[in-house]
Amino acid sequence: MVEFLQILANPQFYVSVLRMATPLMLVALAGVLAERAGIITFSAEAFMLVGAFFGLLGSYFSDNVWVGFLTAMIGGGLFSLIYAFMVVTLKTNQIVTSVALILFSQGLTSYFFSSTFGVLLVPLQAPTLKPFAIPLLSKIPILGPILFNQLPIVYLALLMLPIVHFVLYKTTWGLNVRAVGDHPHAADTLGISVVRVRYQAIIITGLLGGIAGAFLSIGQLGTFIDNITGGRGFIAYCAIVFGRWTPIGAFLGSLLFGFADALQMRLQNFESVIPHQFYIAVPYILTVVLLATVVGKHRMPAASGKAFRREEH
Amino acid sequence: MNELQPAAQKTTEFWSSGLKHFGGRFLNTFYKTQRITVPVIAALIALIIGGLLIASSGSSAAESYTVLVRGAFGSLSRLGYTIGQMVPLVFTGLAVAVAYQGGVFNLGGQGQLLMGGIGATLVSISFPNMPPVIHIPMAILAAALFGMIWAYIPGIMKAKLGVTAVITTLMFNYIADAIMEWAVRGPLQGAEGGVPASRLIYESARIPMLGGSGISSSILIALVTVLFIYILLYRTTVGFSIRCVGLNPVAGVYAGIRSSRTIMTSMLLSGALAGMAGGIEILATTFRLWESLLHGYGFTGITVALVGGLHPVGVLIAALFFGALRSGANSMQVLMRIPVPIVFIIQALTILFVVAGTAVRFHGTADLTEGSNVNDPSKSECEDPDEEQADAPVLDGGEGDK
Repeated sequence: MVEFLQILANPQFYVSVLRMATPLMLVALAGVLAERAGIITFSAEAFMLVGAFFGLLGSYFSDNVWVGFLTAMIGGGLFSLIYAFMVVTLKTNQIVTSVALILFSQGLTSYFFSSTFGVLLVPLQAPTLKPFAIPLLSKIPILGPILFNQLPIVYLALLMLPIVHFVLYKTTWGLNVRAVGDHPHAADTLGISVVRVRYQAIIITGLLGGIAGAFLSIGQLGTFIDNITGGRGFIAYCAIVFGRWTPIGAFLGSLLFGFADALQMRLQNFESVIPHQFYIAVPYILTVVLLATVVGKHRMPAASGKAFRREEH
Repeated sequence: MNELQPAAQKTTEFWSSGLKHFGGRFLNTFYKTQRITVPVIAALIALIIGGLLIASSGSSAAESYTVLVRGAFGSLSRLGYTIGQMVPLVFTGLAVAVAYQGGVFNLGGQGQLLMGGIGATLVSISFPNMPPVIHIPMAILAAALFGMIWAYIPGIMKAKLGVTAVITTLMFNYIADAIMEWAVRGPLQGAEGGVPASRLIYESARIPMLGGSGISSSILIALVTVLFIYILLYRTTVGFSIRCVGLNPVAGVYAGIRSSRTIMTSMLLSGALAGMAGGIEILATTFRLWESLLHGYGFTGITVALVGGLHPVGVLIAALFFGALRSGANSMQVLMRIPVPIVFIIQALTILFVVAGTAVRFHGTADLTEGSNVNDPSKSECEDPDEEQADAPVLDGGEGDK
């Protein structure tokens, strides 16, 4: 218990909470757009994994971490295009397609990783992000070091909340997104292209999913491990569901999971009777418990998961 | 309509019903052959793309595939190895198929398999001096039971609370991973030199080879299970209820089927099958619990089930195909220096093309591709098990699962 309080009292802990939550926020907030357009973003796991791998490639070969993030966006974006083509154009089942794409991303990344780098005795080291202190703001006691002396991508993740909120509720495109997700046929009658809006929303998820994945590989670590995402795409999806398909909800959900993740990592370092593997399972157990207790009644977009066919009513 | 003469009206009716009848027949035949042709074409395209990847890495694709085929079927011992790879896939494939037919997309096969492995190990390392006829079935039963327990919570959450099994089963995979990691380093650790693995299981619990041929008799257990699941799904009322709930839970209610109970049945059955996959792998192949040896079977089961059209016999064929790929890939890695994950690419491409192919096949006609009929009783009725379409694969599940 004392250890627990020690952890919570340490400002450094909150720095890592934000860092753990960052990839989740990026994906969950972009995913809110796709979800509100009626697209299940379960496939985010695949976009992230591809992003993580492409990010490493870009960063390693150019020796510049920002090139890595750019290639990660390209990788995630291209992958999301496959998803969009399948579920929007071919109208395949979204969950089945997502699972297929996740398996594909796992095979693709581990094949190309081993065919590019062979068997590694020493892990690769690619350039990583460095904290960027915002002048003045980072000097605020306690809050400054936590919020304003962070990795640049963390700022991006934090900015995503107001951006996505504004886009979704205050712009015409956001209105279109919500219309397409709730009443695709009415939207279609009004001349909104359901197909185009859904493609756009999916691609945005892919681009940000790519960044989120790259944050895992070249954010701090500087290397790639098979299946490095470890289900974070699924957890981001849970954050959306848990946040009831709103940007603020998805943001808070991501923060909660980031908190759980950071906590379990700290707890692992303490000697205790509880085996450390138990702590690894904590975020996953939390997800299940939350789904069972809090979520209960969903308010999901009415057309969620349904392909749009003009001839149907 | 009123201006038509009665006779003319009759003729029109005759023709339209005839057309409908013929069209239905035609579509049925078309559909039946497509069930085989779509996966076959998908696998072929996937193999071609895999070949292009191999060629782009500087090796000869033809030579590599020859090595692959030889590695999978070249000798009796290689065949034995392929069958060893195939058997767990039959079980995990059946596990996904059974749940899917019941309207639950069980992505937790991997976790249930790990738990099954732990269950089988517990029984097979703790009872010395037992006759194999009792020890082996006991260990398999323990595996099934452990897998069932692991499927129980996601099942009950889906059945009672309507929480999507897609997420819960996945989360249970990660939890099972952690338990496994702990078990082989903690209470079950028994290998020499502190290696994270259990000690070897008793001889009496090992599934014997078929007359010293190098082929494990676990294939017989797999074949019997395939037959059992086929009969259960297509020839019993339990199976009818499962398929009915999977196709349309609301219509199921009208037919007097309690959907939550049926969901539990298919989920528990699914968990038991996945658990058996893990158990049999240990009893027949590895002879000890070793976490990394079980990796990948659970997820490949999803591919096997979908490519196999969710039908037990399809699952068997798909399992042989993917099992052969896996065992052949090892030869390819050793002899041609082509990384084993090429297999995962071929697998994933196959399933992607099957999903896409299924969508194109039903384009604009049926809801099978996305299952939007799930909550609309008017759209689809539970069909009679004897009717031809009753065993239609329903590549939906997602909707029923939300």
